[in-house]
Amino acid sequence: MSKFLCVPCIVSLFVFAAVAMVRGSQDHTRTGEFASVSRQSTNRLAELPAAELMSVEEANAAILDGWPAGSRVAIFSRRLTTTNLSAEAHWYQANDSQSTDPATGLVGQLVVMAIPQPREIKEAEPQTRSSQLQQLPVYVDRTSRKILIHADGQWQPYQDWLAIELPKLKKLTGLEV
Amino acid sequence: MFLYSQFRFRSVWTGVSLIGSAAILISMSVYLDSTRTADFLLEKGPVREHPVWITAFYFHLVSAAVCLAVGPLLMVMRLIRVRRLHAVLGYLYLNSVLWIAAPTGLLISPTAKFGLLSAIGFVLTGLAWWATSWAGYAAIRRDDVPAHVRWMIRSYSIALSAVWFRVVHLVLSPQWWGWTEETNYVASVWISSLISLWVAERAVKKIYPTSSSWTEWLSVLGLVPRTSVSNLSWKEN
Repeated sequence: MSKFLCVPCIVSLFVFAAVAMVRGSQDHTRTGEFASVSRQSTNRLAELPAAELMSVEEANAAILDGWPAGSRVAIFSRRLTTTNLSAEAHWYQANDSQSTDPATGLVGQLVVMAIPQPREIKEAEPQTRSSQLQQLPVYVDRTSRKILIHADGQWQPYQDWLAIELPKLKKLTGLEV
Repeated sequence: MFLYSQFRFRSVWTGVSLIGSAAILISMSVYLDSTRTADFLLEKGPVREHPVWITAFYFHLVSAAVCLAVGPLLMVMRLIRVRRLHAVLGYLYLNSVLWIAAPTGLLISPTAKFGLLSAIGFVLTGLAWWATSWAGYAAIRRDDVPAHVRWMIRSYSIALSAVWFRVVHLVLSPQWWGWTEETNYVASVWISSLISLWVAERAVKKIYPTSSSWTEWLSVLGLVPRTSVSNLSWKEN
């Protein structure tokens, strides 16, 4: 191998090792979705006013407002015992919800309970048929206000997922004919 | 482009490759945005915090960008004839592939989405990319221009598997076919690699044919002597 290839090879190795060591020595105590950005940019983000960060209430509204308005309450009422689609959001880091630190993303779970109607079960896809209770991880990027949900083995935009899944669930549970 | 010079609809092939490469280069900006974490990195979970993994990822990103940007210039006949320029660009491409893009690609391959099948696909593609680039370099070192052309065609074609992957991934979208995203992703990995190899072998066969491409592939692995590979007539036009 000529020196024209030898030198770049060695330089690449050294640069790679140096960058990896620098990254390794950076602060790893921070958790959340912004941990991988550089400290410099994180400091810049920390200067953002708290008002620009998404709160738990806003995240709740953004996630749950897509669901049938009455279903979350009606499932427990005597009057509508056959109402059978509910959704709740549970947050793992509720204590951090007021934090102004943008490194604190909101991590939670969307719990969906759907009780299929007998006449709809036959038509439903096998995976939908059995999914009476789903617990799906949710991540909210408080800075960009992007909401991601982990479903079908991958993170995907919440609204995209909702647009596909909600009509299926409504049909399955008899809320929409 | 030299790679497609003997293909039917070569301007279409060239257009898809160039537009695809440009789209990949533009889309890479999402990873340079320090105000948010890209979806691809979010999907990776805790592994993205590992210093070696994240360094390998960004090195792969930058060096692959160099390959996609420089590659087309190495495949334009008029520019190939400007020897000095070709040598400088080739030097840039070769070093990017051999020491950065392919090795870092291999490093991050095991964490590929949807597990072992896609990981194996990426690993084999990475190995083939490295081997073909090295064989191209070795050939020009011994002044074997036909072999150099063949191996560099293969190397650049494999680099373009990144473009084919995105095209196939789009075409096989679950929205249209009803299968899962996992099926789509794994199939896209393998089909894009096969397209790259098919394009390369077809181009080689048309431009600089050998007695046997199989023998040439085996020779780069050291399984048969290189002398058993003979050049046939050159069909450049």
